[in-house]
Amino acid sequence: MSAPEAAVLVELSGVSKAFGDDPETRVEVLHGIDLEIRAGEFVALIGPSGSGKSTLLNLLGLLDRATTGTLRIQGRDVAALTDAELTRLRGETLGFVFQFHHLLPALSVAENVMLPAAALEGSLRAAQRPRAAQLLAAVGLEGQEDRPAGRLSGGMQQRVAVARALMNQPAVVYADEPTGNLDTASSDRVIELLQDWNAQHDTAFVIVTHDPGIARRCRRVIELVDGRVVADGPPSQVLGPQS
Amino acid sequence: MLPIQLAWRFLTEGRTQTLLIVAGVTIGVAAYVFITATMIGVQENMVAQTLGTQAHITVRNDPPALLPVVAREGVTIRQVAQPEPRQTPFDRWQRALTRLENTPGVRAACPKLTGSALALRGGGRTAVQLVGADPARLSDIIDLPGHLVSGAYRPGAEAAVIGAGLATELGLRVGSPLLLQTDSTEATVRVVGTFRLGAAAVDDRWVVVSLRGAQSLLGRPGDVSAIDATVTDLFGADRIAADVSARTGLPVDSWIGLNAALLSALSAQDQSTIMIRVFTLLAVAMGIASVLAVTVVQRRGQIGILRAMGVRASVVLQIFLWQGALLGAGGAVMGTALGALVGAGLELVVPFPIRVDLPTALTAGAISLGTGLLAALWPARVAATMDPARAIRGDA
Repeated sequence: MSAPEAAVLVELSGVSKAFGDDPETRVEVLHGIDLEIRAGEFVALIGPSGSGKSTLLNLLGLLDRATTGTLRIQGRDVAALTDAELTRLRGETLGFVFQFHHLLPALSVAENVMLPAAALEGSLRAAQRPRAAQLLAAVGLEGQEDRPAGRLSGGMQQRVAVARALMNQPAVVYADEPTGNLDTASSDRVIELLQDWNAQHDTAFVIVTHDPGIARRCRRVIELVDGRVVADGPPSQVLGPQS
Repeated sequence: MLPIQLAWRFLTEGRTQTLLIVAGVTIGVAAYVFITATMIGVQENMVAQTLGTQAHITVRNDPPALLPVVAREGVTIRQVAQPEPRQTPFDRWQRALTRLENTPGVRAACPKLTGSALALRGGGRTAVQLVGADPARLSDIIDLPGHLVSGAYRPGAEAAVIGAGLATELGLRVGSPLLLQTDSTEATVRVVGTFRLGAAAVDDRWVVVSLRGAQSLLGRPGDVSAIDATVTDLFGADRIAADVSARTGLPVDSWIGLNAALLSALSAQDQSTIMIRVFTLLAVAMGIASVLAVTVVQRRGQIGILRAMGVRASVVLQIFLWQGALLGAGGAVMGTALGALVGAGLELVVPFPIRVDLPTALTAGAISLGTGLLAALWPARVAATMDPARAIRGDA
C-alpha cells in the first residue's frame, strides 16, 4: 500500500504574468504555468537568467498578482483576496529568504527574527523572544540574540534570515538565491539548515538557484525556460546523472 | 505599537541624520516661540503704555440737541449765531453708572469730573487738568497708587495727588499748599502725594482730588463729565462699548477707536509676524520631508522585507508618520525651551517682559507636531504604496 499523498499547499493553474499595459511594449514573462507544491517538499527552481524564476517566486509568495490563471494557497483562491488579506495570508503561511538577506540593521538579531510574529501580533513582544532564541540556536547562532543585526557576517546574517523565515511556522518557505552572496562554507551551512528543518518538519521549501550543486540536493527540480516549465522531476531526471 | 517601535529604531539608527533634523526643527520652533513671545511682550508693553493713562471705555454725556430754526410767518431771521460752548450737566449719570456696571465684560467703573484750572505757587503758574473721582474707583481705572513717587494716595476735597512733572515745575513737595483757580472759584489744596505714569500729558498736568472736591472747584455740584471703565477683554472693548451704548443710550468711546493708529501698527506687526512664522514652519516642514524622503529611498529594501514579512501597508505608512511626529515633538520640546531661554536672555536688555506662556508653548507644540506629520505624509505614502517585489529587488 502506498503512503498517502501530502496535502497540496500551493496550486497554480494556467498562470501567466505580463508587465505593461501598452500592447506594443507589453512583456509576457510567464506563460500558462501549472504547478503544485505539496507539504514537506524540497524543491529547486532553476533556469537561465530572464526565464521568469523571480517573477514566479513573487507570485507564489503573494508579492505580486497573476495576470491570468488561478493561484490557490491551501485551497484559497488568492485572486479574490484584498491586499490586506493577502498580506495576512503571506505572514501566516509563507516564509522568505532573499539573496540579500535584508535584515533590519536598526533591530537586534532576535528582533529581526521576531518581526514576522510582530507583524501579525501588532508589536515586538517579550513573549516572542523564546521562540526566536530557539530558532537562532537551531541555526547555530545561540547567544547572538542581542547583537545588532548589521554587525554580523554575511553568512550569519543569512542564517538569521532563515530563522526569521521560520518564525511563524510557515507552510512554505521561498528562498531566492539564498546562497548567491555567500562563500562555499556558508552556502553549505545554509542549505544544510534548510534540509534539516525540512527533514524534521512538514515545511515545504522552494529554492530558486543557479547552482546545480544546490539543485541536486533537492528532491524535486523545476526548470523554467522563457517563462514555461520545461522540466519537473527528480534532480537525476531534470539535471541528468551526476558526473 | 509596531509602527512606533520601528519608527523609533529607524530614527535612533540614523543618529547623526536624526540629530541634524531635530536640531533644524528645534531652531525653527525656537524662532517661532521667540518671535511670538517677543511680539506679545512688545504689544502688551505698547498697549500697557497706552492704557496706563486712559480708560478702556468712556461713557460720555449726551448734550440735548439744539432746536432747529423754524421759519414762522411774519418773523424774519437776520442772523444765525452758533451757541456758546457750555457745560451741560450729565443727567442721571448714576443710572448710567449702574447700567454700565451691569454690562457683561465691564470690570470696573469710575465717574469722574474733569476740568481746566490754573495752578499757582509763588510766582509760578501753569494750566492743569483737574481730575475729580472717588479714589478707590479711580485706582481701578488708572493705577496711580502703583506709580506713586512720594507721599500717599489719599486725594480728598482739599488734598491733591499731582503729577511728578507738575510738582517739579512748581517746586511742590508732599505737604506743600497749592492754589487752584478755576472759572468759578479758587481754593488751596495740600499736596499729599506725587505720581509718575510715564506720560508727560498726565505727569505734567494732572491734579487729582476727590469727586466732591472737583465738583466744588469747578462749580458743578453733583455733576460728572464722564464715566470711565475697564473691561475684561481689552480687544473686545469696541463690542462692549457698543453694548454699553445700547444699554445707556449714551455715546461711548473705546480705547480702540481712540487709538486707531496704534491698532493699525499692532495689526501690521501681527501680519509680518505671521509671515515670519509661516516661512519658519515651511523651512521646518521641508527639512523633515526631505530627510524622510531620503530615508524612504534608503530603506526601500527594508520596506519590501517588512511587507514580505506580513507588515500591512497601513503599518508602513504609520512608521513614517510616527517618525515625522517624533521629529516634530522632539523639536517642539527642545525648540520651546530654547526659545524661552533666548527670550529670557533678551529680557535682560529690553524694557518689557518676554515670557513664553502656555498657549504659545502649546501652539508651538501642536504646530510642530502637525508640521512633522504633514511633512511625513508624502514620504509615508510613497513607502506604503511601494510594490514589495520591486522594493526587495531594489528598483522601487
